[in-house]
Amino acid sequence: MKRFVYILVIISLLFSAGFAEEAENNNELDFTPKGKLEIKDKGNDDGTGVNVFFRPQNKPEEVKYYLLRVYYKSVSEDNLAAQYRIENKDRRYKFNVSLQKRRKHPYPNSRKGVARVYVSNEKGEAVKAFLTESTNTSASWFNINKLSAFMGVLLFLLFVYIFIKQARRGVEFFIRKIPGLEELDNAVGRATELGKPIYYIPGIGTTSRIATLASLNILAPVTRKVAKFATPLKVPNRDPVVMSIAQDVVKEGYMAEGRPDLFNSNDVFFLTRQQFAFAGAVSGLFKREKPGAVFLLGKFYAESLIFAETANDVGAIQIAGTDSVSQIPFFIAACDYTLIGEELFAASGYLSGDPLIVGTMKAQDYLKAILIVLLFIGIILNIFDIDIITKYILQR
Amino acid sequence: MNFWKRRLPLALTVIYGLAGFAMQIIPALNGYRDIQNSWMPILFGFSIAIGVASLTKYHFTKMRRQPEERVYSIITFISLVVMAVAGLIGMSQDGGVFTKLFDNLFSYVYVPLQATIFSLLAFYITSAAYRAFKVSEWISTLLLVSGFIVMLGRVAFGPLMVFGKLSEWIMAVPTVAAMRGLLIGIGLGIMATAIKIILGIERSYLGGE
Repeated sequence: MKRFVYILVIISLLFSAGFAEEAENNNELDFTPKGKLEIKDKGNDDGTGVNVFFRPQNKPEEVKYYLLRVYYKSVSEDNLAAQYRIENKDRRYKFNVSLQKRRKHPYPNSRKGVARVYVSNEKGEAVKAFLTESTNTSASWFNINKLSAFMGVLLFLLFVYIFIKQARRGVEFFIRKIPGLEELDNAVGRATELGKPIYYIPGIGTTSRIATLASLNILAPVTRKVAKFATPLKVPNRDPVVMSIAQDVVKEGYMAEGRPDLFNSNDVFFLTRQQFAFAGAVSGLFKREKPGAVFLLGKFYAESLIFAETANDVGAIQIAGTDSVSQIPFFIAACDYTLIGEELFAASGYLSGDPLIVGTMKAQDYLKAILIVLLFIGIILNIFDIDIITKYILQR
Repeated sequence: MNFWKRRLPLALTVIYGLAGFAMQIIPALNGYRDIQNSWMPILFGFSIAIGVASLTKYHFTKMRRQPEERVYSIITFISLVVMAVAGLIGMSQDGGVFTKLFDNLFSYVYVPLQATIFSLLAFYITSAAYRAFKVSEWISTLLLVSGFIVMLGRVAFGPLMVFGKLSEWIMAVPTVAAMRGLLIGIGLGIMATAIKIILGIERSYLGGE
């Protein structure tokens, strides 16, 4: 009898626990989930961005967590672009969502974004969906954030047109002396007198870097100067594409001076694509061959100082230049001459004296002057809390 | 010849340069920019073949003409072949002996070698700083004084904390001002060079005038 009572008690306890759980589940559904959901085209993009705003209208005690899911095109697991777990802190939430990830069509001009909000449990699972909103997005045909840059380019083109026209009429423009480029003849001459080779390193950048192209533009006049003295010129490369271009530039340089016999394709060579392996290989070449002059022009990173110090160690005259702001101090400290910042881009026109290129340098100066004036006006206006220049011109 | 070596590359530069510019300011063309970017690995694949051919030719010539430097070329060839074979065969045998060989060579030879070269920078910085700080002109003195303050500021404690504040100010105000000035010049220089190349005004990179 006693055993029977025990069994009854256990069974009744189990039942009561089951009922309690059911009652708890019913409690979750006892309220009506409420909130305000908005989904808007982000605009000014390729039609892949949407902004989703959600404002919970339940108290945190009622719903602690929500789950926001954003879909591309329609509500389906395959189209899920992003999901966010939102802790109800009784404020408005904003999310920038890209529909790009779940793009089914290659490049549609318009897309549809769907946002759905669920009540979520502690585990982060969706319990019940209660709000759904959608919007159509479209690709923009002009990025308004790049308006200033666009206007700057147009202005620059106008200046280029004016100065090239003047250059063609024979107007001579003043260019201040750049010591590094003035010393180019001396560097080549010194290497020739010492009977040592000249090394030209066009950086470790690829051809997509403008600094690399600027370096290749300088390589042409350097080769012509070298060809006059028949001094060996060696160009180690880190990028095979840059190497191919450099080979052509050097070959044409020798041909332009009537010395195609001096060109040896082995003098413009590829070493390795790895940054420090390249640094080690070039340093080794410097140590063994002891060049008379070293040109370090192009895109450089942490290896810049390894090159500059090794070249200094072997007694080479160094002319360096890069657009990497963090490497310029190293070059200034270690090299004999440094082309600082924009001087690297001006070098080609400076050396060739081509009136068309000099004309564009002049256009660059005028644009810089306009920028300086704008900066000053912006600073003065900002003092008086007027941010029209900084907000709408300089930041766009 | 003139067409293949000059006009065609120039025409392609103008077309792709203008297209690149348009893709920057027209968001609707972003998809095409993605396609164009996806061509890069193809170019990269071909360029590696050119690079290996150049490297092989360079070292073969060097082995013939400079016997005293033959040993470096032999090491280069052995490294090239072993890494290439281990990598290529290892790709198809996950967890096999070649994969392990490649991983070991990469982790215990290549990575330490890279780190060694990188760590040389510490010594080079010291020797370069010594030369830069040598007091020969008033500007070197200025550099020496500001360098001294910044170095002291980095390890400052107690009453020396004043150098910490001064160091922060030097790094945040005059240094940033100078760097921003450089950046403006560099930015304009990049834009000017890009436009010169796109418009065909600058053609030196094509090998000649």
